[in-house]
Amino acid sequence: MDQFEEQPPGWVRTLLRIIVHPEFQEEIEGDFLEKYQIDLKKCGLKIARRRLYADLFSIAKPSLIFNINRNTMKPRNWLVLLLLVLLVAVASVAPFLPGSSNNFAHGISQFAQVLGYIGLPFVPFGLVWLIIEMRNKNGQRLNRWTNGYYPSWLALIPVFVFLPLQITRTILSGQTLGIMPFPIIISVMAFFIYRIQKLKKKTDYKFNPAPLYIVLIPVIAILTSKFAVEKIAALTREKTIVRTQPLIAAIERYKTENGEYPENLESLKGKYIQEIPTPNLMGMRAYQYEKHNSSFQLSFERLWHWYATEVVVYNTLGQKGIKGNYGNYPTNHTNWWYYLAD
Amino acid sequence: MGELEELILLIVGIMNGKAYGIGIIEELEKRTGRSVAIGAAQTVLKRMEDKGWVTSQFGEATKERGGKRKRYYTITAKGKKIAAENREHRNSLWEAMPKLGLNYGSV
Repeated sequence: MDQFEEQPPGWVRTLLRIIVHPEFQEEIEGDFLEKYQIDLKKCGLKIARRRLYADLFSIAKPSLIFNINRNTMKPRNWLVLLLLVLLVAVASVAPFLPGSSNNFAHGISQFAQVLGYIGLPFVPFGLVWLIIEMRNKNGQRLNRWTNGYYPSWLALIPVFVFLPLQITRTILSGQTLGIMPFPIIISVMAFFIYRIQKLKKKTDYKFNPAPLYIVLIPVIAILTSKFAVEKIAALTREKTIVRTQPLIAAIERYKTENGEYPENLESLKGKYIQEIPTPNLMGMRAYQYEKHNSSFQLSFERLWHWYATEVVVYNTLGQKGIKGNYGNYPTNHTNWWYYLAD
Repeated sequence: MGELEELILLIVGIMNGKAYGIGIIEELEKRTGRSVAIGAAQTVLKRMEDKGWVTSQFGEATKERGGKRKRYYTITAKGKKIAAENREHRNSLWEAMPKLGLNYGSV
């Protein structure tokens, strides 16, 4: 009987070939087979099998599966990744940063938030490319799929579709300043296209971090939009409402003394209030005041949502719909409501 | 440097050009009684090669390895320097230990 007749189960060798990075496959598979023979001689079949399965668990390590080392993700790749993630996160919350009201903050926030939803369908594709990229072998000859040339163009499709749509939408909405981010975005795109053209000639393997960006950027954008942006929006809404209370008190004092509500907010200046509060966040617009017969309405618009304008309204008569709204929500304050509108 | 890293680096040095995956695991068990899984040993070897402490090259294939070649590891000058520095650190710690602490036999 051949002393090597008893071999490890076939599925173990198949699994090893699937899991272990191609660069290490030969030596690790050889080590498994040799160790199995040693254990068979020393301890018998049952224990040899048990040790084989334990060893199989021990190779489930990123560095043996993906060839992650200093030759793959270099410090500058990590730095670029960190900067891109920060850029998306800061752009998403730009309307809530202190500063005078402007459409630029809204434009980049909209872009960052939409980027997540547009990019999400491409995350699985990015994952597949990332696995291909991390399983490529040093010295391996690459073709236009494995060097990332075709995957890069596919990954850019959502941006090509989204960009003209977003520019048209911004122009039609009359937000002239809102188109300001687009030249920057187009410049970045031009740079990417230049880099993609260089990939065409790449025949030797060198790790390309692009798929990592395709996977992480949309995920970060969606997480920021879902958890940070909406939470910050709720928090700043509450704070602005509290900040508006002295103005409402001044309007009510005016009514008590004059028997009617003022015609405009300017009438309050001096005697009833020192200064009319002005927007203190980049995505907030000035207060709108409307006098009715026996009531008044005070409102302010906030531009942060990626497809709607938020209108926060105080009405002495309680909830009152506004034109073009498709969602109304209560706040923690009496007579204050907010709406999402076109 | 981790403890397993140090042990494997020294074993690679001791085996003097004949160190490969299973050979290292067997030698380590023989000298220290410590059993190490293939994955743990391979991870440490790859990390040390990445740091430039060891180099490697393919060797011969054998029947018990199913015709798969061995990868032989050799300690580099940088690896030797790191191991020597590590030894010095340990020695200095031993020297710093009060003599009283070593008289455990009298307790």
